[in-house]
Amino acid sequence: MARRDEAFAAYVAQRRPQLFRAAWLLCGDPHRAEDIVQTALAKLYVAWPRAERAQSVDAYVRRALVNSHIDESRRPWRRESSAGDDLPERGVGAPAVEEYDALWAALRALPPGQRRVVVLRHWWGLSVEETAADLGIGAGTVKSQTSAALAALRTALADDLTKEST
Amino acid sequence: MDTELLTERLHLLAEDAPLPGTAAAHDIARGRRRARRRRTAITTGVVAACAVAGVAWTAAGDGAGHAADPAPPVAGNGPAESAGDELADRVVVLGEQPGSPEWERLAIPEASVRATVAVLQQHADPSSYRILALGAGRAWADLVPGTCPAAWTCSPVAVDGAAQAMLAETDDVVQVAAEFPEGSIVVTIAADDVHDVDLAYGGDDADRIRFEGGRD
Repeated sequence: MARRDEAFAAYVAQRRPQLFRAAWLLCGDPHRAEDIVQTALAKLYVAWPRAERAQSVDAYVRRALVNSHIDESRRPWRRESSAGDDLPERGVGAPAVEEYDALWAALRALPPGQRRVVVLRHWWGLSVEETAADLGIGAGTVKSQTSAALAALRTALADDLTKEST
Repeated sequence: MDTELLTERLHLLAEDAPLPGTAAAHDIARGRRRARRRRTAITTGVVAACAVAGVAWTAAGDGAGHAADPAPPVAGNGPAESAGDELADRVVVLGEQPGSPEWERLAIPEASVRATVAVLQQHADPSSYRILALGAGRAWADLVPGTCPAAWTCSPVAVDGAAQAMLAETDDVVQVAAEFPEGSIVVTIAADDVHDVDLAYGGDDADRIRFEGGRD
């Protein structure tokens, strides 16, 4: 047990910020994000020997995080937040506040399934196949959801994304 | 590129996430509590199953004592077939319990579940096992990893109607996973002295696997 705790603690210390950021992008609320991360890490702790043996710790916790987000979003008592809630202050050198607000609002306006695909593919950098495996859906669905999400984001961010890309 | 710009913006956005200062020790404590709850749930299931079996045994004994014309014993392998049917019935009931939308969408036919259980029974005697589980996933890879975990013996088997099927065994646990057109399933039985079952197939995701007696 001590060896498990030691390895698990080292993993948590290294990965927790990344997991929290992913959960925060998925749900848009820091309190819900923390709930999701806690649930995912508790699942990981129980499965640690098996996940470590299979060298699939990252994949396991990523999938647990996504599933926890899905489970959490089904709860009737979950905390709701509007598009602009919990938006932190920006630091020096960051994009203009209006661009940042626009991306945040556009992301929040996406359907949950499309938001999950965007976060896994464009923030986490997963391939279509890895995203499909994590979400338990087909590769074709990932592609169509990615396409729909990008179209929605392009429309919502027309004033800044397209300007910068041209 | 739009996508590159989106990736860059998402990273900038995520950098400003209000990270909480949570110690790993708290995550370990929560993990231990979850493991303890899981063990308790499985133990409770075992105790409940034993209690039900005991009551059924007593009732059967009383019934036999009062029967005016007891049925003659069935020749051949009747009792074994009966035990097998009962196991398949229990697995089918597990599959019919309300679950996640993902589970509902899969809609694995009962015949496929029974075919998988039939193969399981060729490798394990149901009477010596107490914990029963059924897991399901849309993709084969959801349930069956590419490698066989240490301490397990994994081998391909044939299941009626399945594109592929695998058997995984230890001294205490037997699993059969099968891929059908509607999705993949894994049926597990484990000895009653196994409290924290480390499974080769199906993981412990609550959305994808369900245990008789409950499991968190």
